[in-house]
Amino acid sequence: MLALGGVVAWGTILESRYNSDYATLVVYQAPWFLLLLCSLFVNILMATVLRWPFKKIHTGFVITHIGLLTLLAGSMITSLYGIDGSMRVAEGTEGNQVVLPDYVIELTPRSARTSQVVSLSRSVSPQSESDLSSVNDALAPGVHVLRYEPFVEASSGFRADPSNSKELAIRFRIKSQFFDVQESLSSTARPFLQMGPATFRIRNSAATPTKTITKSTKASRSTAKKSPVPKSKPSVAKFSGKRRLVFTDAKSGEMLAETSYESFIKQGLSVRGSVFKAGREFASASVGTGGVEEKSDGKPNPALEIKIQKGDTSFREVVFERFPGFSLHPEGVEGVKVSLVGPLAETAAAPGGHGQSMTGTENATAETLPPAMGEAPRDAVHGAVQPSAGSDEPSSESRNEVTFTSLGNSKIEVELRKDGKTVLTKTVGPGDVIETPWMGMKLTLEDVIEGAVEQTDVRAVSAIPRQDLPPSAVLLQVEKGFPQLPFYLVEGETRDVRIRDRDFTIYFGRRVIELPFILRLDKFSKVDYPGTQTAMSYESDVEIDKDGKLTKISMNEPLKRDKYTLYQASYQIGAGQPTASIFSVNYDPGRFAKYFGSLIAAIGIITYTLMRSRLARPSTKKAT
Amino acid sequence: MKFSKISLAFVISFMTLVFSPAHALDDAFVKRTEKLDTTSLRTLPTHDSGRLKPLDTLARETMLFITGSRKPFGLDSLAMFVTLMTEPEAAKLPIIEIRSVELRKELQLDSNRRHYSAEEIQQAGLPQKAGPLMEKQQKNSKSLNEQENSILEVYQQWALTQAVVSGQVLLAGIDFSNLTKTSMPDGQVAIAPDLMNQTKRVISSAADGRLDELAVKELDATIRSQPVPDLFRSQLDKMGLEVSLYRTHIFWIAALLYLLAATLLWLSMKDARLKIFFAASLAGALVCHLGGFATRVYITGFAPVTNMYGTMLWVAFGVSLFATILYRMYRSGTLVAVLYAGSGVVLILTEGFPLILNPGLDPVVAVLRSNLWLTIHVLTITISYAAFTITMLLGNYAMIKNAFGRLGAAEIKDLSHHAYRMIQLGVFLITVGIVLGGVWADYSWGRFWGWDPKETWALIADLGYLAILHARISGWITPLGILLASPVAYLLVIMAWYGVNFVLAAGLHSYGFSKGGAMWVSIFVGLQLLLTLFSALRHFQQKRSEKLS
Repeated sequence: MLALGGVVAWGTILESRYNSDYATLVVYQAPWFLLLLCSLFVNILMATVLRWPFKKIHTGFVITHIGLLTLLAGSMITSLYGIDGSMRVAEGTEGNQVVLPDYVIELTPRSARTSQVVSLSRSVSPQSESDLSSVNDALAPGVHVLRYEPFVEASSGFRADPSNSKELAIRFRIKSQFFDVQESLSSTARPFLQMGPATFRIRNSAATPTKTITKSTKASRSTAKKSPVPKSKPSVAKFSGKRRLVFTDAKSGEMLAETSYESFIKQGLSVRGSVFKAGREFASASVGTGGVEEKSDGKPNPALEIKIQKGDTSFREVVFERFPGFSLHPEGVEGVKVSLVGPLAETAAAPGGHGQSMTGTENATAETLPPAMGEAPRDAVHGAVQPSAGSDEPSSESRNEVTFTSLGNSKIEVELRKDGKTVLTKTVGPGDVIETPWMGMKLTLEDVIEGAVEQTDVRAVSAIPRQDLPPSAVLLQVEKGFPQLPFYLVEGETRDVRIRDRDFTIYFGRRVIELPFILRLDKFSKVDYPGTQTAMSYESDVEIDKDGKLTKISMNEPLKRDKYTLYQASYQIGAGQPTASIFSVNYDPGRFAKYFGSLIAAIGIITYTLMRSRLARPSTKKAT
Repeated sequence: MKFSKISLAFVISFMTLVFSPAHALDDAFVKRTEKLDTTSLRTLPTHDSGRLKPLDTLARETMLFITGSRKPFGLDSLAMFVTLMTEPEAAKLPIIEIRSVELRKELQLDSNRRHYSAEEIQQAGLPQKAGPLMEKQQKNSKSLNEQENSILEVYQQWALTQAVVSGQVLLAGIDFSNLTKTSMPDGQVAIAPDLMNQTKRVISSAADGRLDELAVKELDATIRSQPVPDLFRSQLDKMGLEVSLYRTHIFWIAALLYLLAATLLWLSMKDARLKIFFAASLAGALVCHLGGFATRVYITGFAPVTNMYGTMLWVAFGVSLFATILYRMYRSGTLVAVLYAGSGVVLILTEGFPLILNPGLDPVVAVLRSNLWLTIHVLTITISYAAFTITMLLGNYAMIKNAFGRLGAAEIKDLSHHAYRMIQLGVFLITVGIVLGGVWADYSWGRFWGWDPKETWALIADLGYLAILHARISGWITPLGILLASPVAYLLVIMAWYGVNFVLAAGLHSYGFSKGGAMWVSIFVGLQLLLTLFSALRHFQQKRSEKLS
């Protein structure tokens, strides 16, 4: 009992130093803590049983302890079989996906709809391959988890991979008295990068076929960056300038259907027997290695999750307005490709997009890479400048520009331009430093990678007190496929891989379950005390399974449906993103046992006190 | 009675520290403030922090925050609030309290003073320091260190002083026009001309040294004629009541009556004729205490146990309630006198630190807006603290008496029996309270138990006392042992009650968080541990010498 007291006291201190997630991981969900609770259970049980046969004097004692046993048993049932997750629903959208706190690795064959889900226990210390043997045993042959890192800072980089020989990547560093930044560029996945007033680009003139060289070296300098919407994409002027969804035949590119964004959100669309429905909407989607998340302070990057149903088969697709070529299913779903077209896409070049917007030769390599990941910078902000890669290529006329052109054999020609005029040209190799004429800025070419594969670089970090925990990552290795080298997946990311010549999508992150009903958030409101910004209540008006009835969920007033209870847990209101409610979704099979146990224990204590006092009274009288 | 005298001395020294002599203000200003009679202004309805409150309360809370005292420089806070608006040299008056000594040094101000003028603070460059800190705070409110928090606090005091002097605080309070809007307006709303003109008349009459009572009456009528949200309608009638609740200092009276009752009860052991006076003062104390509490409930419309101040009031009441029951059951005069004194001291502590223990009646955050649960869960938990407070007092009484060698075996047995009874009661109440909390949490957060610090520490305290109970049954602990152990176990209650909100400041029970007073509590904890250690050592020494002889 004292041990339990001491241990949980430590837990609360951790919680105040870090946050509740951390304390939960270190103390309350640790196996030894469960063991401690079990030993408490056994102790109480033994203490009760050893009094057998019970006499009248034991009544209170026995009742109390049976109550406690029931209570503890109820807690164990809850922790084993209960569900306690969270669900975010934006105003006007529907949702039924509940995110649970535990981690899984999910492996979905590209051609099938059933995926394999393996849990991975979360911890605050790294786990090596031997710690993870149970995970590896459960995973399909051909995939191995080599390592689990509890807290990481991820950044995208490149590394040599023989399977991708045409891609060229460089790593460079720019340093001045104000900042010190390391960045990377890659010929297809991340061809340019905007950093403050400067644009960085890479040209791979050595390795690629001659046809492309001519295009990308000279002509493209002034024209390619302003390239209009790719011709291959059907852009009928019907909804021109407005956001719309375009459905095309995956093979021929022929347009099948088109609908306005608003109408699609409302009612979806049926194309060639597949039903397309809107899922989550993103105002500024942040893209990891294919995983999509809403980023609060990001640049506008509208995206839409689409759920596709054909017969009993369902698929998920994410489309980006900025990157109309991108798809989770490059070959299309049931022969249909869908893209989100809007004003953003029509003004921005879609660099690294799916071949369609680029010159034809790079298709082969781009195919296997989730293309959007090159464009979106990771959260890491280095020093004073925040680089933003790829989204809006600035006009070169009024800017500083750095162009790296590969000459082969790790030699790079670096050209510095200001306001369209060349100020410096120099050929360098890895390790060389260039003194630029710009505010004493030094440019170092750190590495040239020929045959590069985009790679999430992961750096282990420790949890920072009083902040949200950093994401976790797993190091994965696939057999006889792509990528050949081990790669990291950061929490929430998906990646297309090839294992033993079969295509899969692999996901690492929180377990997601679907509720048996669909909840639509009609309206969320934060009601303040008049004249202040102090909240009086938080309320969500929701509709379930489109039954036309609005129900209110508010703090202290949850909603019960089937076996689940939904609580108003949090909310998001902010510029540039839709208002959303975050519900805590809960299912507790041990509830009855806990309540019943508490009741019994309370009755027990009363019985005990009353019986004792009657017996004790004569002795106190003697004493006084 | 030694204990009660000691605690009185303790309290007096506390008080002198709290009301340490302030730096002299400008004489003319003091005289003008003293002369100004603001009685008729007290009940003017104003709105602030989500409720309607009398101007008296708004002025007191404002001046308390700026100057650190409810009677700044011995002046009436409302009179000072009004006089500041008429004072042309207000920026030169040293009225802003810089509570952090380190900050006074950092700003290169004379660190022997507590109060500084707005001008001095501005010249010391504080406003410039505060800007970047506010940005930092907005990003992550927990990222500021103590020094940075003090800078922001002084900045707020400084800004508030200017808002008081310019009349903004008053006008914003009496103008209800933005109450009926759903969201806060971006720009300043034009104040109705009537309201503006009447306020000007009132203030300019105050500048002449005598309020224009007719103008005050008209202003009151104009304020009340504004449309108010339904939520506030009933509050309009409670202005006078709230003013009298504060102005009568009802809890101070209750505290003094408790101390009087304790003394009389002790004296009546020798002279039975005093019993009637004891009964009268006790009854008076209970009536004041309960009456004050009930008035707070009536004004707010919820059980005001949502912060440390509220719970301490309630615990003090619990202590005297249980003490009275003990007295009825066991007729042990001295002992119960100690308990009444304890209750009085708790009340004095509660009232003595308005900056740390906020006595305000402002509305509660969303999650607490559930009267049924709030009442039964919080009242049950905190009344168990009262039972534990009694065991703590009993233990200390025994230890102090033992230290002077006046504690007989029979008395130990009696005291420990009382303590045991109170622990039983406390354990029952806290267990029920925790379970009720669990049921509420299950209902509104979706889980019965979540290892939240407040929950966890309540459980730890419960386990601590349960350990004592179990040890007693299995004979591991002697009657004296119970008396020694209960004050130590009480430290767990302090942690659950004070520590979680003021020191850890983490978790979902985040509405009662505050800071301050950590030093005093640590001193108490230290003294308590020393006393217990001393008593234990003495006990073992006695035992050994008994064995030897």
